[in-house]
Amino acid sequence: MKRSLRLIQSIAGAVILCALWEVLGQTKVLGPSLPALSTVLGTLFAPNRAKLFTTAISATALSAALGLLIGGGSGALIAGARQTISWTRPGLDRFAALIHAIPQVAIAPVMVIVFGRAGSPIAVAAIAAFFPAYAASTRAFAAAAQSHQDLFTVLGSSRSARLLRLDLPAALPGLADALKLAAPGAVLGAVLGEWFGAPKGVGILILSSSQNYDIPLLWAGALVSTLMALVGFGVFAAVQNAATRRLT
Amino acid sequence: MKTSEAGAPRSAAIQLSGVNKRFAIRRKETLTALSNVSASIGHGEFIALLGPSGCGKSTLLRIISGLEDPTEGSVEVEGQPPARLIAEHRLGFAFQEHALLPWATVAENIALPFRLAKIRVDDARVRELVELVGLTGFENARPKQLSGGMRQRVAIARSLALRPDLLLLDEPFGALDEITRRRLNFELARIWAETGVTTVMVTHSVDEALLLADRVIVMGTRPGRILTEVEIDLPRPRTVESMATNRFAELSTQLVRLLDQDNNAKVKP
Amino acid sequence: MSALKSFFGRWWAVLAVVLLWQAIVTVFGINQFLIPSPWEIITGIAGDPTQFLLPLALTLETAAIGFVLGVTTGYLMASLSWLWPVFGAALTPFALVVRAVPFVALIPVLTKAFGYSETTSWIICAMVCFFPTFVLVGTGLHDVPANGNDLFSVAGASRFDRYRRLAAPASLLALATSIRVSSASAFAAALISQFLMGVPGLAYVLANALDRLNMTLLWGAAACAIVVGFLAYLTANRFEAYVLKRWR
Repeated sequence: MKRSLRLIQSIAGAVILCALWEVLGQTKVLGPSLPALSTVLGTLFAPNRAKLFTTAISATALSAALGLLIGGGSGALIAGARQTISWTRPGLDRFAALIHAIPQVAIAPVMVIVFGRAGSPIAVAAIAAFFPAYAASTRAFAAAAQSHQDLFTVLGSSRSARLLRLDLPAALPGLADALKLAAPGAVLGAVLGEWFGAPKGVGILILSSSQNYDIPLLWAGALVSTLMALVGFGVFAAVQNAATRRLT
Repeated sequence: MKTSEAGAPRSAAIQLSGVNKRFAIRRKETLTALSNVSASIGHGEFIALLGPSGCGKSTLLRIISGLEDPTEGSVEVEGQPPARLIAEHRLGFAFQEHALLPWATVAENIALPFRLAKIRVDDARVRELVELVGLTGFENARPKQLSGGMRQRVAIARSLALRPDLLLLDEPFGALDEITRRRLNFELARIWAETGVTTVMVTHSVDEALLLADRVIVMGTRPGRILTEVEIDLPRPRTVESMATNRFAELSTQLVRLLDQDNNAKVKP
Repeated sequence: MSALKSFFGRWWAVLAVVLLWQAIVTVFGINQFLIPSPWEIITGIAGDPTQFLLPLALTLETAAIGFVLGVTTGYLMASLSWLWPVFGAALTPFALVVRAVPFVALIPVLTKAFGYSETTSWIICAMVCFFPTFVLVGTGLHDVPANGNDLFSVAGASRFDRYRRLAAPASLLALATSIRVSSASAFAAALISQFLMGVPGLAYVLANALDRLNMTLLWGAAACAIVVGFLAYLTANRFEAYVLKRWR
């Protein structure tokens, strides 16, 4: 009941937002810099641009996915090490904070030098995905309650049985949560990483259209990057929901 | 029937000798949780550890279970350190917060001790336990679908799964409402009568101790220590009617007075 | 002694990465023109500090002005929304609309009004700081102690009294959190907007250095940005921890 009400509210909000955008664009209150939604969608679905967009989207999606795999994976792994070996904790936390504090625009050109123009988006996406994954995994691994740990101790559980039957199931929703939080970061990281001379991608689309003052294309690019981030978030949110329903 | 080695002199099930427990709070600062605790618990006995919060009764239970080690003194269960009992999967433990695995069904939760002991799950035994705690029909329910009282029943069933030599209960009904708690007290009495397992239960309820225990160990605070022991000579099975007897009232008054004295002694300078 | 221990406890991972980097570059004789060692980066910066510090100061100034502007506006708007819910009901959808648009796409809209200037960068940074503050403080204002509202109702307090003595103190924690969140994003937003508009600042130095393959400049500028971003994060974190300790 409450859930469906919220859904209706957010759908209504989105509809109002789109309508407002359309009206503002059509009436040209803000001049050509705010094109109407229909104009942007027209640009996005123009047949002669289909190839441009599919190429860009697939390039960015691939970079973001690889970055999520590398950054999110290492974030979860390091959080696992942190859980097992307690003395590493303060040092690893600080290291993760450093990675978190790296401004992506500042690291992207350096990544071009280290990993090449095509590798930079993946590297920046990985850096962007690392911290959210690390932080959420840390919470996830601490999720098994102390009473559960005690229970496994008094029942004489082996280490492997404890990991398999307690730590992992208890951490699963949290690990999905980690990927959910890391996914939008990976998409935006990939977009930023492309700005320094990647051969193709949504970031390049945004950058070149911004420099050429092709406003509808710029808005289309921005819309696409936002939608990609939302899709990434939504997919892992669904996984997390399923895991939580099954496991708690 | 529980048997120790046949012919040998009957040794105590649990022997606590001069147990001290201190926790480091800060540098150079320690908290004495237990001071010089000695006690002997016989086979098949039901012991209640009764005391106010902070008297170290839960710590004592954790030491008996082997979850924590005493700072000084010794604990022997069946003449061996508690870790031995754990390694042989002969210990049953029910926690205040049921500690059921939320992703497992009632039956799977009860079967967990088999799995951790790497024994084939005895389905007949699991069914028997489900019936014993009155949850037939709920085998495939998940903990979140159960009421607080039902969860605690599952936790008790789980603690009995491997027919343990020792059952430890850490305020198993502490989080329940008074009515459910009373009902489960009577049920635990029935279950215990059927199994006859040596049991140590932590509680801060005088009524609970009187309904269940053969002997109550009364504990006091600052530092946590044993004040005295009281034999509960009420006939079994104990029922609502037992609670109306004079003897029940006498024992109840005696226990309340003991707990109160300890408290007053602390208030006075 | 124990101070030293706690220092290494916190910094071992960061130090290890820096030392490993230094060792790998030195031992394997990696092309030091492209990938310099940490020591060379430091000497590079020390050799001509002004070419880093001046652009850094420009970026920091932009970030700081935008930060103050955004957090103040966010706090004021949240407070006004609390005092006059009608105001909040009118403002919230508007805030959500602007928030849903990636600010990359808003740059042309803003440049139309304010030109390719620092003002545009300020507004971008302010917007980035505004939303977390508005949302977090908005929630924080309602996070009053249990029965606090009943207490004030019984005492017949005016709405403003209730704001001053109940809601505003309750929202301080949320304000500290939004300051932590905003400080990092203000710096990142300053870099991004300056890069996209091509106005002077650290991002311009980075892009320029990459084009001219000036590695001393590139690595030095990236290092400056990372160190400053990290320091801002640590300071804001400590501030939040301090408020948390004082207030709870």
